[in-house]
Amino acid sequence: MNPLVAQIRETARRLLDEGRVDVVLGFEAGPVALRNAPCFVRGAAEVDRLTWDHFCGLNLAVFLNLSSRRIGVFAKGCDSRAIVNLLKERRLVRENVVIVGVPCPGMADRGKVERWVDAAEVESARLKGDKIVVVAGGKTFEAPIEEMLRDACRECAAPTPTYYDLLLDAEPGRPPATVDAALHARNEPLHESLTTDRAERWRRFEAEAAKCLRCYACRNVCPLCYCRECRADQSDPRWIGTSPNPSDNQLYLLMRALHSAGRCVECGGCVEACPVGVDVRHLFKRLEREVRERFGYVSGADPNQKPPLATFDQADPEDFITDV
Amino acid sequence: MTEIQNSKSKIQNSWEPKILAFLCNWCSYAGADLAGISRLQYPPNVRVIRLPCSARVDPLFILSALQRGADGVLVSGCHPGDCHYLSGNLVARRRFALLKALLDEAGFETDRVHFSWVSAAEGGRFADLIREVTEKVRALGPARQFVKTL
Amino acid sequence: MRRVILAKQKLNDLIRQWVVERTVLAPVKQTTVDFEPVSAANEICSDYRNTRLPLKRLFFQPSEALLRFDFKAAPEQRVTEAPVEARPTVVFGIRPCDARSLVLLDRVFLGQDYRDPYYASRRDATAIVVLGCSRAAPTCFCTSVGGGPADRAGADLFLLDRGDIFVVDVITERGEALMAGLALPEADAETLDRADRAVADVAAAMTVIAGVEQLGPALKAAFDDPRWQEISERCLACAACSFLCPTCHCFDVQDEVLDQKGRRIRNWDSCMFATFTLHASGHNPRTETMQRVRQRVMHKFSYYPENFGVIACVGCGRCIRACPAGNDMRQWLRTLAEACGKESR
Repeated sequence: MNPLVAQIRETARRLLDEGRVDVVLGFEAGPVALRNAPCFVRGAAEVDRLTWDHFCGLNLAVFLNLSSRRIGVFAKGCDSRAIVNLLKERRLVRENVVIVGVPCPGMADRGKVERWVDAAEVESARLKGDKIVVVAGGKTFEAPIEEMLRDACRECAAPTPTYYDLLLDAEPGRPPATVDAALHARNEPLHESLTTDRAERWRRFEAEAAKCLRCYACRNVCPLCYCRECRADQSDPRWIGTSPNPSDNQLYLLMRALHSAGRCVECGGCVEACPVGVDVRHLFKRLEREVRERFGYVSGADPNQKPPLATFDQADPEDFITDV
Repeated sequence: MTEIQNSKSKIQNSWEPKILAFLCNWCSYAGADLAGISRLQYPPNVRVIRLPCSARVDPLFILSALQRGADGVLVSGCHPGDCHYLSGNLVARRRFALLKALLDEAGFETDRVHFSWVSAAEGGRFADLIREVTEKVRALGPARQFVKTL
Repeated sequence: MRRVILAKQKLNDLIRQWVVERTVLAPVKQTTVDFEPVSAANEICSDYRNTRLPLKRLFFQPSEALLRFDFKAAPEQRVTEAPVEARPTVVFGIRPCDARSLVLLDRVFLGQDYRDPYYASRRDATAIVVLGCSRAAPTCFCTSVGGGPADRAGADLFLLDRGDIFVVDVITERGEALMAGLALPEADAETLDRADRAVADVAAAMTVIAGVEQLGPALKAAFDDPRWQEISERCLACAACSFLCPTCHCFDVQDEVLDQKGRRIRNWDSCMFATFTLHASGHNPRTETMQRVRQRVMHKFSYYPENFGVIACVGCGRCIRACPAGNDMRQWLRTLAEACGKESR
């Protein structure tokens, strides 16, 4: 078992016993393979439900929005970034949250596994060292877990939280990197457009949008999508039609990306949640790059940095302006 | 299907681009007005919507316009530093930059969507701008992306 | 009803025969397994538990125009009904749970007082060939809700896979029509016995959630039980479960207008959406996720059984697989059965 599990359980027990929180939020084994379920623990007797592995991908910050409970949350890097953004947007009372940072090993992508096992029914999945072992359709498959991680995780700049109250240690003694340091340490470009061929980009976006059923799993699973009345639901005026037709689907996906600009923490939760496999994460990634390069803003890094669209700089780039 | 057939017949019957222009009241709209008073000629393809400030433009206005048949959209406001509301255009500038990048990422023909700054004194410049935008959109043909068909 | 043997090599002959005048839909493996048109037996996926998406989309479409209107048209043509095209279709390889779900949807859309023409014309034109289950998926719970791997509800033909043959139950007249022109041997008693016992074993191996079928009235009495809050704590109120559910059938009617033309559309809707019960006045009786979770469970396990005599869930387990937040209908039912004191029955 992952050594972090013992630390998680011990920390949960301590937080509850000391009365610092009323409930602790982590993960427990889920009803289906590859996907653990969020777990609310209210008493020390229940802490042994808590687990930790590569199947804990859900962004737990989604349960913290306007929560009035005193809650301790086991936060991966992306969870912690989402919490920072929620704090900026005044969706959290800081004193009510105890953030226990958990170094994240990267989370499995169920879609990738399902394609790997050629659409056979996944019966079980477990980790064996650095390998993932999956039983599907009666056959056993084995591969390095690295190959089955979400793309978002493989590209994650800060899997270890940089904003926390407590930090659990995967390797005792190693100091955590700041987000900026992590970003600079990676020499590879953090985003490239899917392709330089515009028509090809459009075809791919069109194809993804055509799959969308408008179930809003992507929106509801996102910690930063919390509007009481979402534009997609607004009926007066009806900006975006509710039907799953190509045009309205495209508008919905673009709108969500735009409303997440500078706020998205790139956890990949939206891709994982989609029941029909829509993946437009590249839109969100592009916007995070733009926000970083144009405005020097990193989403979820510094609770004191003002949200990029709530401010401006006289010297903001004008390269997109049409000049005559 | 009908929409595409209409587009084809539009090309055959000398189709004219339909461009929606969101102009801020204090600068760009006044600049457009000045162009009119000065009897400057510019293409008649633009339909103007007057707003208090370029910051009033929600990206959804632009996307919605494209969905409903606009071949191109122009948003024009005061020059940075001259906004009647001091910083509206500065906040909007960030928003517009991101929208343009997003459209590019999705493979949209970004030459259909333009952002510019035109002051109340720049009647000539407004006419030049409309000319440029109209020609750019004309070169792309009728809009097909995002268009909603019923 | 007669029971015949169809050698698997002969399946292609059957498909080729059907394809002449009908669209044949069968499970096809691409990135997932879903129903697609096929024209030959080798296109059909032979190794699947169930398709990712249920088949209700064939009869009850995710988005469908009901009427079209055009104010520029001549007065008598201003409003026209959207035509419903219903090509004769055979659905091959649907599982018993999904076939049963069609029977449940029939009670809503083909009711005594009103027959939905959009649903009806497609349903009437479609033959259902069910493939019984050789294995249950980890998320299956059909035997807890009145179904099973050998359930024949809704089937025109019912097949059991026996290796290199199918045992085919020819159940309805439409089923007979599908088999016309093929002289197939009647199945012998021993083959039938082994086939029936094999599928009964599949059913027996499944864990049954106790007390589900008696939950209906008890759930009403437990309306204010705090366990509703407990089970809905990690629900994010999206519609992944509803849209992937073969029996969920709520819809929303919208008028969409562009310029002078428009259409009235029926779209899938979900009681899980926050705006589902939003009134024009602004009042919303179900603002809390708990209220909507409770409503969904009670609709399936209490209200629908009260109205129609059967549970509106077929135990396919898609909701469990789809839920991004790890919710499990089986766990909910166990918790609720406990709350109602039913688990000991």
